[in-house]
Amino acid sequence: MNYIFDPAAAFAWCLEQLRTLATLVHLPVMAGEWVGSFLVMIGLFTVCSVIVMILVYGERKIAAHMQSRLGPMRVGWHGLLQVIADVIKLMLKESFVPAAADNWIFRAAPYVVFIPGFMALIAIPMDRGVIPAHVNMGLLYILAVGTPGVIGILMAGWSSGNKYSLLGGMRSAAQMISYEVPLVMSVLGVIMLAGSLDLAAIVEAQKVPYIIYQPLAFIIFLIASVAETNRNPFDIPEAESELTAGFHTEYGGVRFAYFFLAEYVNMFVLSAAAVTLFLGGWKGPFLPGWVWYFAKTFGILFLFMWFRWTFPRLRSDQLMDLGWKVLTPLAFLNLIVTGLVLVLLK
Amino acid sequence: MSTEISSIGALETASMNTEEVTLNMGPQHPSTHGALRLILRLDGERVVSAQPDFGYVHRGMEKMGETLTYPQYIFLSDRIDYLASFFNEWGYCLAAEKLGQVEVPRRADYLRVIVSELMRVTSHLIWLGAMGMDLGAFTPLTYTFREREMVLDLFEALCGQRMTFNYMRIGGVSRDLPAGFVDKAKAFLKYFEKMPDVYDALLSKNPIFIARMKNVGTMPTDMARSFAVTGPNLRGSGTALDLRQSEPYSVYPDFKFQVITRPEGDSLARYQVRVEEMRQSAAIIAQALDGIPEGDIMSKVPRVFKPPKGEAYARVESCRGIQGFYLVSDGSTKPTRCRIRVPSFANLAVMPTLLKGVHVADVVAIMGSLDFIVPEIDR
Amino acid sequence: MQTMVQESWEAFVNLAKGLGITLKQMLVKPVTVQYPEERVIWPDRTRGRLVMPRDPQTQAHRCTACMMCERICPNGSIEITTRANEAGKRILDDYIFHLERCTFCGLCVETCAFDALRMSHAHEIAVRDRSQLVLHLQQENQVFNDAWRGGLPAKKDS
Repeated sequence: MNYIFDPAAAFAWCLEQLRTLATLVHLPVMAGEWVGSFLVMIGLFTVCSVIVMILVYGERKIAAHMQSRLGPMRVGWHGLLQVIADVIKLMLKESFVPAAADNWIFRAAPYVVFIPGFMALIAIPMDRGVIPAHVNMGLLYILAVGTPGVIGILMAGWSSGNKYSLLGGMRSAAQMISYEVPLVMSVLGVIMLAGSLDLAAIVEAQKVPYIIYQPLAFIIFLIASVAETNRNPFDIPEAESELTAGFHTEYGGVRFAYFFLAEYVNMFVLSAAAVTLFLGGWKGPFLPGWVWYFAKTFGILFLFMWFRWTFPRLRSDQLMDLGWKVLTPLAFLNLIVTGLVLVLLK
Repeated sequence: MSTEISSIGALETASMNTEEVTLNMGPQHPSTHGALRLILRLDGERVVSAQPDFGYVHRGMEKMGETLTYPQYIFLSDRIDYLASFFNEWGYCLAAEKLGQVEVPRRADYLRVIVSELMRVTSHLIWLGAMGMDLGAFTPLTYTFREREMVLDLFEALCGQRMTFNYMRIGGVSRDLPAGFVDKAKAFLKYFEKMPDVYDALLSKNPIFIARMKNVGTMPTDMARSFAVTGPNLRGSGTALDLRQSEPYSVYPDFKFQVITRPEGDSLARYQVRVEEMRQSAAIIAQALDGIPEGDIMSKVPRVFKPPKGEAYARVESCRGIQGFYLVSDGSTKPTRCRIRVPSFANLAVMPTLLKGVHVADVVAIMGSLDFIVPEIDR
Repeated sequence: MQTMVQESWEAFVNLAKGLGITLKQMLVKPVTVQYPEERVIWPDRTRGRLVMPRDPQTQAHRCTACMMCERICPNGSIEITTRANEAGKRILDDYIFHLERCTFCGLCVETCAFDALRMSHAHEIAVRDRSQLVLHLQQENQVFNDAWRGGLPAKKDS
């Protein structure tokens, strides 16, 4: 069987084998499923780490070439192993807690930031039938699960005992609140078109990618997701030239690595969501579905990076203005127009 | 109306029990461009008051001026404002030449104009990139540095160094143009002609950039004058004071160029003045390269330079404003007093007034647009 | 309303222009040089470490111990000691060059009436011990062999 073109079958086959194994060693069949879920989690975490490594390397290279530089060139061929070297460096560093910090909150914050992103990744279909966890209200799930990350950022900003961090944390909270609204509103149009909250069903419903029907919603979603991931031009919570690094000024070593990981995982989740909702997910001619899925997602991620290395950053009040006065009304407008057209077409 | 607002403010303060925060911005901070400390009193994201604290890079330049002979000091004057070295050298040489009544050959003057205007371009380029970086756009910095390197190559071919040149001498310049310099300089000018469009697309016309700069840090022309702000900052406030035209020194009367002014006085105006000035400098360089006369590059100056008793003040229009040198001679080989007037000092002095009530993010934008060099302030 | 739409459109176009520039730059070869492997060619006048060129055959240098360089040096990085030779003439004994104090201003080379000094292109002059920065120019050619290959320069070049 050609598993490259049918990962769903491969997935099912693996589970089947595990079940057989479970019965062979006289365990209940469910144990096989549990082990299966566990293995899926491990696999997903690995995939996640690999994706982040690719993204970090890609971002550094893209940034470098956009800036007429070469970027990492020393570790491995064209610096391919640079990320691994960096990870090792971060692991070996002492992870200290500043004297003024609120110890437990400070220690917990990186994980609170990272886990929601990872949880959201579970529900996004990578190919037909390949969803680590099929949630029938997947869209609601990823929107809901993605939100607590900001609490982690707030925790980090508060507990660091640093005024820059505090400002960064506060800015981040304000930003998240203002951009969550247009993000969700822009998605509603898609839900109305597809008539489902199930991400797999939304992809299946897209005869043509919804970006054709919902270009405005796509742009709003894109802008809001850039803002949600705190990236330039909306990187005010970590604004390097104002707040040194905002909420993660005081972090180092593994904890900083988790923040880094969280940023890229969140980026990946939101790009994957954009692909799923607007660009037809895994659908595409000739190539296997997961190739299309990753290609599209990395395309969106390239956009993220492209924005970051071209634009200056907005000021916090301008950011609020854009969120509340421009994007939110536009998202509502989009919603109303979509609803009207759907009613009229009926 | 105003009382109403203040009473509402008081109410809010009373019910929310807010507190002002003191934030030390610097001395180590990415956008203070050197070791400068800003003591900010913050009310949330608003700046209540700002107090610059400087002196971290004090090197005693003025005192050293009393212990070094006239020709020896020139290399040190490079380091007052390391991005405008030629202007420092020029100012010092002009003052010393005034003291010793030394004539400068025309060719030397032309060379001084060429290198100084190139210097102005490089300084503005760095400022442009740094300005972008302060506002979060990192890419323009690398582009402007790329262009700057080309000019530095020219400098290196001319005088052997890229930043601290030690090129000008009392009574002329140390070296004549190397072979191919004029062609290379012209090639650079040709290349540079279209670069401002690139910067425009990345910064000046970018709506985000405009939103960050427009009506931020507005400095009316009266305020600028009362703080003795000079250079592009003053011209951005609508006063056309440019020593190259109002008090022409050296061979500047030979060249046709405009003094750029903008009436608005905000950060964007200061930005536009500098970008335009780069074009004007390029025009001056082109004229100077074409009109450069033959002749000596040094006049006859005794090996041991001993100016007669007296005092002299000379000033030049540096890329940041008026750079002045005041020298007092007692007839020996060293000046008894060497006072340096630096433009950055006045440009910094206006900061506390400009920063009142702005956002934290604007602090960076205003600081960037004023374009001061911290070592120059501290001297 | 119309102006607002027009303004937003212009803003959009200008944002896109900026994006276009960075994308175009991505496709052009970077200008940076991979330093230790690739090197830029220094102009002739580049001022690096001070050397005292010698004639390759006779090993003679031109220094007459006139002390002009010691006097002009703003940082006191040159120390000259002299002795009398057989004929009773003052000649150079030791030419101590304190590299740690040198700012490469080039005044010593400029002031030398006998063309005995040169600024070489040597720029990789980091050492592990400060004492290694005190150099004896008249007897050297061990530490920085490559600093000056040219032998005695022709007098009075530009």
